[in-house]
Amino acid sequence: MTWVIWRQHRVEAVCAALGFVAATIILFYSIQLADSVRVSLSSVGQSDALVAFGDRVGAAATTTTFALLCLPVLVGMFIGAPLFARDFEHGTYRLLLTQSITRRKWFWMTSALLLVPIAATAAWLGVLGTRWSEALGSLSNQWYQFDEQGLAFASYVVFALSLGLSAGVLLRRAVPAMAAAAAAYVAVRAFVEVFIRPQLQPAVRIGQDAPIPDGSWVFSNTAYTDSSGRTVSADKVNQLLQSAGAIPGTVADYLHAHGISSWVYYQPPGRFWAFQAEEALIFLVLAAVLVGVAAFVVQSRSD
Amino acid sequence: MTLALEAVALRKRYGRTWALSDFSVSLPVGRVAALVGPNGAGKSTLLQLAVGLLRPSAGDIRVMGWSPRAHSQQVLPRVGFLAQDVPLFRGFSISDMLQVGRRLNPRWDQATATTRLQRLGISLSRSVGHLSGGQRAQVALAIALAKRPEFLLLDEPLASLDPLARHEFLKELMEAASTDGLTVLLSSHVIADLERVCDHLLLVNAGRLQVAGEIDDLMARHALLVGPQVEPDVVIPGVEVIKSLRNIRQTSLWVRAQRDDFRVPAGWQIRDLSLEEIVVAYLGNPDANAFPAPSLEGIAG
Repeated sequence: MTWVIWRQHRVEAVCAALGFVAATIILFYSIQLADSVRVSLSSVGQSDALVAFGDRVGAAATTTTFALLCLPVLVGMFIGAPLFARDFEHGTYRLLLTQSITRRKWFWMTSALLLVPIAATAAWLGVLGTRWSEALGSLSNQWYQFDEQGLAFASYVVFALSLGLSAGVLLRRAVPAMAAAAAAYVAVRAFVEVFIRPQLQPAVRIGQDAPIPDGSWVFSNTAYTDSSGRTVSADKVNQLLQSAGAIPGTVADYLHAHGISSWVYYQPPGRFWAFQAEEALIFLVLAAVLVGVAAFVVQSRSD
Repeated sequence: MTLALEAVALRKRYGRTWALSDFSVSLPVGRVAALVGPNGAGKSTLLQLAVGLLRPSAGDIRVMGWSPRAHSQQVLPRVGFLAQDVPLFRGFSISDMLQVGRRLNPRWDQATATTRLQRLGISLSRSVGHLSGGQRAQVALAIALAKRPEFLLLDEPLASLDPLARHEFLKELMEAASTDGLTVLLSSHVIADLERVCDHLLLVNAGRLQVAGEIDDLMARHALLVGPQVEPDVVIPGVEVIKSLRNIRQTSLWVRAQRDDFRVPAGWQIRDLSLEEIVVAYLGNPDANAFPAPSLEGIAG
C-alpha cells in the first residue's frame, strides 16, 4: 500500500520537498543576515554602511515572512486538495477500492503518509522560524513573527493540509477543492488572528504614558475613563478635543486636566509561548475534526 | 446452491430518481451472465452495488454470501471488477499498474498477467496513457484476472471497443473464465456479442429485473409466429404473447411457450427468435416478465 501511495503522489512529494528546502534556505539566509547585523550593531554602533545593510535585513525579513505566510496555503491547495479529489475525479477510486483493501485503510494510510512527514517538516521550519525571530532580536518584536515560527506555524501547515484533503473528499473535484481550501484557510486564519488571538488571555491595561515592557504586543486602540473610572467613548473625547480648538501642550495632558485618563492595552512578552501553544491547539483541533469528518465521509458515503 | 450474487428488494436512489427499484435476482456460481438493458436501466448501479462502491438505499445485496460494503474484506479479495471507462492511473506504466495490483491483493498472479499481456503484444514498459481503447481494456482485464477472483464483474467493457478488439477481449475473457471456472457478470447494451459467450441472461429495464434465465432455455421457450391477419386479442392456447405486430397481410406474434405444450394453428408459421429479438420484444413490453420456475432453478443449481 505504501508503494502505491508513493507511486501515485511522488510528484507532489518531490515538489513539497523542494518547497521545504527552499523555505529552509531562505530562513538560514535570513538568520545569518540578522545575526551579523545585530552583532555589528552591538560592537561598531550605528554607521551608514550598517544602516544600508539593515535595509537588506528588512527586505529579507519581508521575503521570509511572505514565503512562510504562503507555504501553508500552497500545501493545502496543491497537496491536500488533490490527494483524494483526483481519484474521485478520474474514477480511479473505483479501481483502488475494488482491490483487496478497505476504505478505512485507504484513507488513513494515504492521509498519514502525507500528514506525518509534512507536519514534521513544518515543525522543523517552525524551529528555524523561532531561531530567526531570536536573531532579529531588538531589530524586531517577536510578536511580529508570531505566524512564522514555533508551534503556530507548524499547526497552520497541518490545518491547511487537513482542510485541503477534506475539501477534496467532500467536493470530489480537485480544482473546486483547491479553491475552497484556500478560501477557507485564509478566512479561518484571519478570523483567529483578528478576533481570537488578542483575547486568548485578557490584555494588560496601562496608562498611556507609562512604560510598556520591551517585546510586548501593544494594541492600537486607546481606551478612556473619567475620574470615577467609567468608560468614556472615543466620540465624546473627540467632541471635547474639537470644542477646545487649539490645545496647549499634549493631548494627554489636556485630557488629564479634564479628568480623563487614557489607557492602552498590551500582551506582555512572557505570554508569547503560551499564546503560541493556545493558537496551535486551536488549529490542531480543527485539523483533527476535518480529518475525522473526511474519514467518516469516505467510510460511509453511499455513492 | 451457492449464489454468486443475490439481491432482495434492492433499491438505489440518486437524488429523486430511482436507479433500481425493488430489484431481486439470484445468480448461481459458475454462470457467465449477460446483464443487458437500455442505457440508464440500472446495470452499472447494480454492478457497483455488488462491489461495494455504492451502498443500497434499501434492500439487501450479497456477493458470495456476504454484504459487499459491511464485509468488504470477505468480498473484495474474491471479486474482480472492471469499471466503466476502464480507470487506470495516469502516467503509470503497465508494469506500475500490475505492481499496484500486486501490492493491494493477497492472491496475485503476476506471471499469468505478464504472459497474457506479452501474448497480446502489449509491452509492460508502455505508459497507460498511450494505449488504444482495446489495449486499455486488455490491461484492466489482466489486472482483474490476476487477482484470481472467483467472480468477475465487468461494466460495459465493450462499449468503446471496435469489433476486432471486442472479439479479442471476449476471447481472452472466455478463456480465463473456462480455465478458472469463474462466475462472470458482464453488462452491455450490445446484445449480439454476448450471445456467443454467455450462458445466462439478466435483462434490466427501468430499474427492475424483467427477464432472467439460461439463454438456451430462453431461446427454446420463445418463438415468432407469423399467420393471417387476426383480431388483436387472438388467443392461442398455451402461448403468451409478448409483442404483436399486424399489417394488412399478416400478423406477427413474439410468443413465449414450450414447444411441446401447444400446436401451431393451421395457416401459421413458426420460427426461432435470436436473443436480441427476444430482448427487444421484452423491452417493448415492460409488463411482460420471464423468470425461471423455482423448481427448474433448483435442479440447475
